[in-house]
Amino acid sequence: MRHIASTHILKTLALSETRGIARTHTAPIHWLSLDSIDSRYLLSGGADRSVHLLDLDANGDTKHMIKSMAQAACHDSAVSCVSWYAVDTGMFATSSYDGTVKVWDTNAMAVAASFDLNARVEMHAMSPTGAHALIAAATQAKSLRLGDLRTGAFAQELDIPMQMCVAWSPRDPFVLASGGQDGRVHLWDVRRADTHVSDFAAHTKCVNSLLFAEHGAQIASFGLDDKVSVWNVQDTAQQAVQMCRTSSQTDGSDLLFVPCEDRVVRVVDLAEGRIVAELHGHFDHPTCTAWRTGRMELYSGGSDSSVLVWTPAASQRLSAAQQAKRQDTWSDSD
Amino acid sequence: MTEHLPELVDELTKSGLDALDPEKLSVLKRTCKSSPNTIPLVFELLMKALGKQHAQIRISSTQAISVLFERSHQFRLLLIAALPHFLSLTLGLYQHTLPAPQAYARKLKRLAAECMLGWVRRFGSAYRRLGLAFRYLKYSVKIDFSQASASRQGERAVERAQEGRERNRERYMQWSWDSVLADVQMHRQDIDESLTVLDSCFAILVPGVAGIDDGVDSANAEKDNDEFEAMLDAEPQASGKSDDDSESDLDQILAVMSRNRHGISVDLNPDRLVDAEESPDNSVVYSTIREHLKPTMKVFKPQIDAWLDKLSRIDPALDPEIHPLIESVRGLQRRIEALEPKCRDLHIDTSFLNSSGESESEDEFEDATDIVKRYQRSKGARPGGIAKQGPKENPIFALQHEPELENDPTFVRPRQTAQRPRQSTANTEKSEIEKQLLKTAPVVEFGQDLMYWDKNTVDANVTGLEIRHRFLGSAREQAVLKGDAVDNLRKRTLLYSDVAQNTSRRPVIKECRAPLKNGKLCRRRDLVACPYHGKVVPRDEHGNCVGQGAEEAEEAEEAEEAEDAKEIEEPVLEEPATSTVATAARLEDVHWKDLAPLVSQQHPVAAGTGRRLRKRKEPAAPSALVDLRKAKGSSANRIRKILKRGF
Repeated sequence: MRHIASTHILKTLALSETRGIARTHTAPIHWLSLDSIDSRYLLSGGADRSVHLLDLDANGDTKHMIKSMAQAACHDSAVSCVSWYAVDTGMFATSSYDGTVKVWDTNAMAVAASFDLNARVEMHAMSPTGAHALIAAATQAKSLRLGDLRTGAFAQELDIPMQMCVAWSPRDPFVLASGGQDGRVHLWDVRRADTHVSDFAAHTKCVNSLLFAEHGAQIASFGLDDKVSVWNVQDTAQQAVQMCRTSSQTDGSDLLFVPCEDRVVRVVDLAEGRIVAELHGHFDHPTCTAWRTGRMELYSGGSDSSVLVWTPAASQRLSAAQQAKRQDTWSDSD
Repeated sequence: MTEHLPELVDELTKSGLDALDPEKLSVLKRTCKSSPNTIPLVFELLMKALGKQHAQIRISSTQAISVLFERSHQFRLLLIAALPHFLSLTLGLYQHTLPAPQAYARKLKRLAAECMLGWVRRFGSAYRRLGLAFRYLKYSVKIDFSQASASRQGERAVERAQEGRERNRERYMQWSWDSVLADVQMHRQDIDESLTVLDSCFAILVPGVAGIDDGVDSANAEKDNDEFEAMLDAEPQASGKSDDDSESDLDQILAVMSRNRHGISVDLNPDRLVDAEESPDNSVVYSTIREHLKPTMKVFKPQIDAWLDKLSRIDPALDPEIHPLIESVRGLQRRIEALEPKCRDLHIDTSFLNSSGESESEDEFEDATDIVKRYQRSKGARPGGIAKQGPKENPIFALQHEPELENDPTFVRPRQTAQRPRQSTANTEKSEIEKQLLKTAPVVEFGQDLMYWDKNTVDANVTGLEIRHRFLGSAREQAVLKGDAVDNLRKRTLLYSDVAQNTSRRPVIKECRAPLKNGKLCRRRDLVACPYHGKVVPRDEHGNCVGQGAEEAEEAEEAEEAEDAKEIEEPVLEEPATSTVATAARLEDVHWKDLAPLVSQQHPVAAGTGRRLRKRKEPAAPSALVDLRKAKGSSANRIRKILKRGF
């Protein structure tokens, strides 16, 4: 979902002609998660209730299509979010509209633990640094709940209803941000007795996604009012950048990949606050993006149930057969 | 270089035809091939055309796009970049609705699916997004590509079938040609011989006729000519113009005649052009003619007709020999046809040609005819006389109308069934009284009552079997109906007639009878006003108003016409006159317009519509596009209009 891109070469991102991902999901894809350890395994969850695991370095067949190495369907409803455990690829978690958050053993592709929230879970978040084993789940219920992976039980309940998104700070491990239907972003410190730190009106409509910058000093939010806003965490009253036409989340010190409803993934330069590129490739609106650090590859999933691979145009090497097919074929009589 | 492109694309896409104009398309292709930098412009123009709110324009645009897509890499890149837009316009993706006409919209969808399938198969591996689009269409939009491929296969199957049919036809033609050729070669000798025999027989009977096909008249003329020729030869001044054409011949003749001062008159007896009679001297010749005539007419003639029929169906390109053969067979046919008038002139009986034997079903009658003929001959009828040929009757009853049958001893004339007024054999007095009575007598149709009118006793059971009748009872002893039963039989039966009922009792709702466009009169029956033609007024047989209601009805109609005309005169799409192809829809108008003056001369009914048509604007652009505005004039709309007006 969220990843950092740093060079301007990324402005030339285009749909990869050489790499592709075979059709895995049969319904809209909701979430992509790339492991942070070696950026090799991609998890995808979708409305078809299934989770797919892809090895991005696997030798694809002749058509260079990456196929899913494992898949499992254990939820009763659409999978809303998937996330790797930051420290170890042996574990990941999924949340679903069926009201559960499930923790998986990757090797067995089986559920190890389950948290029942009795309300539609929009998103969950685990610590990006592995500093703690808390899992925060944003639901449509009355409160935001924290589960403890070590005990398998709920540890804490934050009294804020109808939350859409949560995010742990990479700098302060116990700082949690959440956004919801009221269009406000709330900041929490889960160690304090008075957990609620601050809140501010970020959007006029529902906050759909939150993303901390790598350094944790800034947080980007996007709302259903089609705006992306970047805020300084320390001094939230100050609004850093604001722009239009956006709709999901990713991140970057420099670039933010925003899947938009008009079938375009927009590349936003956070420093300048403007759109630097538009990625046209999806045939239905994209929902999620994942940046593969160090490989200059972007993965995006969408409602057209496809995962697209984007690479800088300069790095694409077409095969001879492809080159041949990309020639003009005028006949002599024309 | 690029100035003509917008017009070219416009003409190409607005033709409304099923296939693109090959010439214009090749111009477009040539332009794109020779100068690749025009491709973006062409692409833009085609996409603009594709966006037009008319399914037929979109079909043509899609066809053009497909042609360029398959050829130019640059064009492919452009289209793939705009693929969602293209798909929304051709497949109605992303909540787009395809424009009318609906039939063409469906066709457009099919065409786009076929295009996508073809493109993906050909270029899918080289253009990632094309494959993704196909995947999306197949799995998310659930477009049935199997149908597209099926329809492609179907087309191919149809083509194959056509080719097969063509091959079969050629094979059949070859076979037919071979068989006819063999047949002709086999029988030509016989026919030729037979005809030669006949011709020489005719030559014996009428020496001048020999070798001249055109019959006796021309033979005589030829003879005269010969005489003139002789005269001319005898003339010393004649300047030896033996090879002259007829005109100078005539001049010569006139010159000779004027010089010699004697006239030549040739009288021809129309009844007996040839003075030939069958006599014991030439009976052998006659019998030879008869002998050969029958096979010639009965066998060879139909055979030759069949050959010609077969030969006319064979493609002359198949074999260079066909044409000469047809000519020679025609020559035989002409010779055979020339036989009949000769026979007629020589009083040879040719009646067998028409009277019998054309099909097997008549074979049984043939014997009967022979019997009749034999009988006729024994009675002394002249065998040489030309039999009277009545109009060709129904072969089944062929015998009935033969006048000779009266003489046949086995023939019983069918009874005359026609009711003729009986000639009264009684005295004149009685007939006088009868006449008087008949004057006052009521005329009643014959029926059961009249049948039993004068009968006092009616047999109940005439079968002789013992019957217990359901109503009339048992007639075991006296097989006679009882008195009241007989009375009942004498009662007149009157059948209920709803027409009579209508006219006498119920008020009749009259028909509207306003003239319709198709020349008929409106058959609607409304109490006060017809929803289409306004108030019901009395009209004459052409539908024109008569009586006091006429003027206001005229006015109403006039108003409606004006309104119609207004509607019609609104600009018909904003299309310049481009294509020369007339539309089917417009064709009607053209035809009607051409016919209107003619029709109005004959039928005053059409005068009104003719006037209406003159108001109509000339069609702006002859194009095969369906006029989308036509849908406005639905019957529902017309009724709504009239309701609004309040009749």
